[in-house]
Amino acid sequence: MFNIDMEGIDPEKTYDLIVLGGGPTAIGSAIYAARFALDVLVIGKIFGGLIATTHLVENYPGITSTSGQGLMEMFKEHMNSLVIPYISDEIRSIEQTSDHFVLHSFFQKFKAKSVVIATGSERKKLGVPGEEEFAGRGVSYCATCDGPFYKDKTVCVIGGSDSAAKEALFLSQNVKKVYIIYRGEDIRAEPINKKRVEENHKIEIIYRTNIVEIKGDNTVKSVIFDNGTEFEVKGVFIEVGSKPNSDLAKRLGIKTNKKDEIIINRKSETNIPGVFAAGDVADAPFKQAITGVAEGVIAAYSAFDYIKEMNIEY
Amino acid sequence: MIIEEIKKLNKPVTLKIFTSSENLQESVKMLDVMNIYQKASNGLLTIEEYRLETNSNLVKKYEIQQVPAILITNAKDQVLIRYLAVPTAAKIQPFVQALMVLSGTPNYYENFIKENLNKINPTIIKVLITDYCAYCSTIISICSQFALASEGKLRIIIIDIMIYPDISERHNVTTVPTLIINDDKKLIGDISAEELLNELINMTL
Repeated sequence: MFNIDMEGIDPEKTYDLIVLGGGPTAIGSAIYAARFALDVLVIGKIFGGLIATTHLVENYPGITSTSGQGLMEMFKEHMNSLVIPYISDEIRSIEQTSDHFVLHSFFQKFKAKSVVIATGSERKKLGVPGEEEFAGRGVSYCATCDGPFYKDKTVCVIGGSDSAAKEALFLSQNVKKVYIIYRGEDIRAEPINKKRVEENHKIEIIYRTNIVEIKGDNTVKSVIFDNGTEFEVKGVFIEVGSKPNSDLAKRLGIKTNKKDEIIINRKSETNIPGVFAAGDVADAPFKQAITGVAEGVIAAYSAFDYIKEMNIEY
Repeated sequence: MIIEEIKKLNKPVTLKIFTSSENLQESVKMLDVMNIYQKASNGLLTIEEYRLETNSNLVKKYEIQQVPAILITNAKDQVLIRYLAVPTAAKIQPFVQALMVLSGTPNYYENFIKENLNKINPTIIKVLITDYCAYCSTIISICSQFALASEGKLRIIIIDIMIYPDISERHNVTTVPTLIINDDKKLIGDISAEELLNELINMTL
């Protein structure tokens, strides 16, 4: 959506660096690459990344409080100020030649001397009957997007993470009641968010419970618990973690761990020289926007170094 | 943001806006916003306003069912993009992008759409969005560029469901973005340009 004038988008040339992804990690990496005077292109499926669906970001140093979408608007403005080209597309395969990489999308192919994979992660599905059938008709994976549809209605959030707690807090602004349904003994939210949940009279937590089915007619009417109880809700917000978007990397031969995360070192290097990875798709144990950006920035610097050391003209 | 973006327009573009006294508040809001675009466009953006009540022929010609509405038409006067939404916030960039592509700026998907035009049936895509939807901007952008490259075969209607909740209720939509193709097939969430094109091609098979 930034390729308004198509400036800087040239399938014929070999870019110094192509960054794959549309979230903060990718944009942070591209900003540094541009400041290193690398000829950089960003290709992302959707601009914003997962964080754009978060209603509240309070832990990005320097920004006391904003929404995920608000944070990404600032990233966009920063990127545009450096005239970094961005296109909405999805790279399907990467081919390695002797001195560069060829990246193929359904629509186009691009060439680059180095690549940063910052393709992030996507939300996991719950995997129960009714989930797919009612997707978009009561089943949602984004409270900020879909919360306003449920004004004065009863909804549930499935999961016990900090993200689940934040989804419930956001929903509580509009809905009649939010139930957090969690299989564990105690939600794993950051203490500040856990306290907010506990103090919110519209939120109630149901522990040690799994959902085994989502039921309804045109839209969701209820969920079935693993103890057989049918529980009436109009909306089901699923927040049961995420999985890394690493299939593209794996097809190129990049090593991943058991969680399918790309294995990187302190320089954000993968096992393939010239290919770097950062953010949610990589194997850091603690994944935040700020840590992803840091890895992305290191990846940009390593790409800069790689091009210099390989004595490739840039 | 509007002022910064519309300044990128480098060729003249004319938009038609239909308003109505029956929906006065939304009509005035849309006109106010469009005046900001127009004033900042260095005279390149022309806005033709038509009142629903006094332009029955045009209402019929352009199949106006809801107002206020902005129509983006091609050289053959076919309505390619219809905004039942005020182009503010995240809608600004895809809106300006569409105007620029309409006036000749290269369109990333153009070659591919043109190559596949014979595989695509005439299609109307409703794009249901809201202002607070993180991914709607990208989806509007993709759909708009598809429509602008399709020589009138693909027409899109961008609908802000906070203004038109009846449309989301009619289609049982509780997620944005949602694409409704020919009032039948729904695509929800962060779908890619590739997925949309495949869907359009598969519908003709």
